[in-house]
Amino acid sequence: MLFNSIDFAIFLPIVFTLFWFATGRSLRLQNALLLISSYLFYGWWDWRYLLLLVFSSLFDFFVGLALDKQEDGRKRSLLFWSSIAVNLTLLGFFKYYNFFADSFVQAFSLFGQQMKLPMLEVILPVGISFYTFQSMSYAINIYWRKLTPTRDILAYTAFVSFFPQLVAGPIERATNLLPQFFKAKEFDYDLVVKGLKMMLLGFFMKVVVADRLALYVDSVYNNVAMHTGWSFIVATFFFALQIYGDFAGYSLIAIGTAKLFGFNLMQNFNRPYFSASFRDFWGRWHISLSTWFKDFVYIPLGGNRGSKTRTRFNLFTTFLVSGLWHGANWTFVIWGAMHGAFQIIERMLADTVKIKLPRAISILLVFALTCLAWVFFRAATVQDAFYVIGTMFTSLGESVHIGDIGIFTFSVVGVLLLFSLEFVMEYYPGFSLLNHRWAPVRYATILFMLIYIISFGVFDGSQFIYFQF
Amino acid sequence: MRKLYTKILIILVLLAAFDVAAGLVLDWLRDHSPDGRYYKTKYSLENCQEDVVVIGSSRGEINYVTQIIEDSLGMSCWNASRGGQGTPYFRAIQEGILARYTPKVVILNIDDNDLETRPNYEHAGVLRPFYQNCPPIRPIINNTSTFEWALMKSRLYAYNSSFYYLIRPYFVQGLDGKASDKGWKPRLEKMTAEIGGQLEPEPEKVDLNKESVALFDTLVQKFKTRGCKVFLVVSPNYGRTVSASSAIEYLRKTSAENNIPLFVYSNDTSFITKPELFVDPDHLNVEGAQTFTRQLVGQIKPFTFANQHLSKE
Repeated sequence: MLFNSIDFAIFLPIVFTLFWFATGRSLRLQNALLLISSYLFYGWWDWRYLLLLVFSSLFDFFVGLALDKQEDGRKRSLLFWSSIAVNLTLLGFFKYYNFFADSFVQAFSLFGQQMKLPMLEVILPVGISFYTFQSMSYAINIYWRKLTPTRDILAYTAFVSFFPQLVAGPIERATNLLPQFFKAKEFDYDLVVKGLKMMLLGFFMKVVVADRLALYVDSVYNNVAMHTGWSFIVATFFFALQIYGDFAGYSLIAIGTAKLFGFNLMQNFNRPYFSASFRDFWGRWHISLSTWFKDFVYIPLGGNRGSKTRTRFNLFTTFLVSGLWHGANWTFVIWGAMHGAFQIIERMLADTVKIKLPRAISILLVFALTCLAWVFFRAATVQDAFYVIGTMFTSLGESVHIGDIGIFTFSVVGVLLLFSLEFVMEYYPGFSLLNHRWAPVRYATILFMLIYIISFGVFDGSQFIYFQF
Repeated sequence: MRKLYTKILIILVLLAAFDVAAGLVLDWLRDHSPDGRYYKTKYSLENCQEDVVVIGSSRGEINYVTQIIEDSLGMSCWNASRGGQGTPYFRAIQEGILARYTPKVVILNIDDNDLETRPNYEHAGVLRPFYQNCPPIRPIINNTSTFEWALMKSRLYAYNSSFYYLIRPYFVQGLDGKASDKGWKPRLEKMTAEIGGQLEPEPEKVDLNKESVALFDTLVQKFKTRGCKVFLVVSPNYGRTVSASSAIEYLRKTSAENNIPLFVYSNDTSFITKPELFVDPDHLNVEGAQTFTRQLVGQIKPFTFANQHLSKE
């Protein structure tokens, strides 16, 4: 089920009403309702893949219990690696098999060897990268003895499948989210209102900004041979804002929805395009994933505890893996590698060059380089990406492709609105029309946003970009 | 909890009130548009009475000069085509027209896309502002989404994303063709890129989309059942020959089975090698459209005169 669908608009009020009125504030009933709702939410897309979710949840639940009981180091290690292997096999089979098989065949063809490997014709299960990571982190934390496993199978399965964040995060840690399933929920008016406002803002970012920009971006990137350097610059700039509006919008809806049920999820975005360094950027962009990689890949690799060269290697490897996590395509691997390289170069420069650029210049520089990396993220193939970048630098052309002027105009308006909103939130955090002390201002703002969404939103049922990861 | 529901109710009531008020203004703008897209769609659905009707997407809208058709056939003509549209839009226009009268001649400009890709009901959403006033098109718009019938209660939703093209004719006219062009959208520019004498190879055959084919079949049969003389036309492209695509083969089959004339220009070398006749590889400019329309009506004319009742009805 998509957040931006009528199905969800019917589903959510029903679950909300049942949660607060029909469960008698019983914790077990509330968890049972959330579990059933979450499975319905996920199965709405394709019920067959629900079995994967159930399997992954149950496997890690029982591995967690076994890990806790087991004192023998070798057996604990075996249990731990079995959890990692099962989750990564699921992910590898559905997401990466075709990619690696194809890459293997192509590598052999470079040496004049023809190979033929069977390709899978299966759909990537929505959200598999998210729930397997969440489930894996539970087993890892138990193995590291940072977490005591729960014996409440209902609470655990509800935690793994919690519908607001099931398909595209934020990727929650068991240490933050799981305990919330053991706390009886009392209706908190302020929390619910806060959640609704976050959802409103999220929908605004998704359907007004991201989906509108997508129309222009797709028209350019789906036909790269027909466009000039200027068009690629505009399309890439738009894509940077599209993916932000899409994913940050999704995260806001997810966090807001969770608040309706009394749950607090972690913040996932913090105005990343106002970052003055790449280190800062990754502290603001997809925070739940970057901290996951930091805790479960970068630090286990040695983090910054070794030599500078070793730290750089760890950093680069982490970003390479992160790139691959985003998609089974070399474009994502290069995108990850670029961000790894940016961070390494940034740290090297900080060590050697003592000049401090003005903050505004640093922000622009980081944004420009981030956009350059987004080219690989958006392009269909590595060849397309190099063509786009090459054209940007060698053949700007005389004009920008406008396409449908109505779409372009509303795209620009969307960009200006998003920038204004972000600017105010970044530099005037105390100023918020949605939370204004004067009620008519709050009502007028909510009404304006609703009217704007209905009038200018794109309602073509488009999926959230991160669903494919 | 009561406080929450009360506040949500207040917001919904205010929103509904605004929706009704805005709807009145938007409906007025739609109904009084001096030209442009909404004028054209309204005329197609609610007013046109012309003998000849052209239906198609952008190639239908740009390539068919209504004045030439009128002068040559001696019948009035309206070009109801619209850019970016496909079979769902064609069907909606057909329902709007047939609910009021029966045209004598219908020229259907069909592209490969119209039969090979899935029907894009979302694009036909440009008809939403007419949902309330034109009941025959409702079943087609209702296919846009499961709950479209419910969403159509909102006037703001019905006018979603339409504001630019709705308001523009009040400030600038003629950008989508003047009202006097009767639905034709002339393009003045000339294509600059050339193919250097090399034609693109014939595109690979792709499977037809069953849903689109079904819509097309209904389109043809409904006009035929009502006694319209139907002509199927495939417009020329620049730089590539398309003569044996799945869509064209299906058109040939339809033509043979239903005794409907078919004119395929996508392999006509008097167009496909002449960039001066095109504005881009898919659309003719004014000169190209005039040449094409003259040739086409020259081919159509014998059929219309062979059926004298057409011009008398």
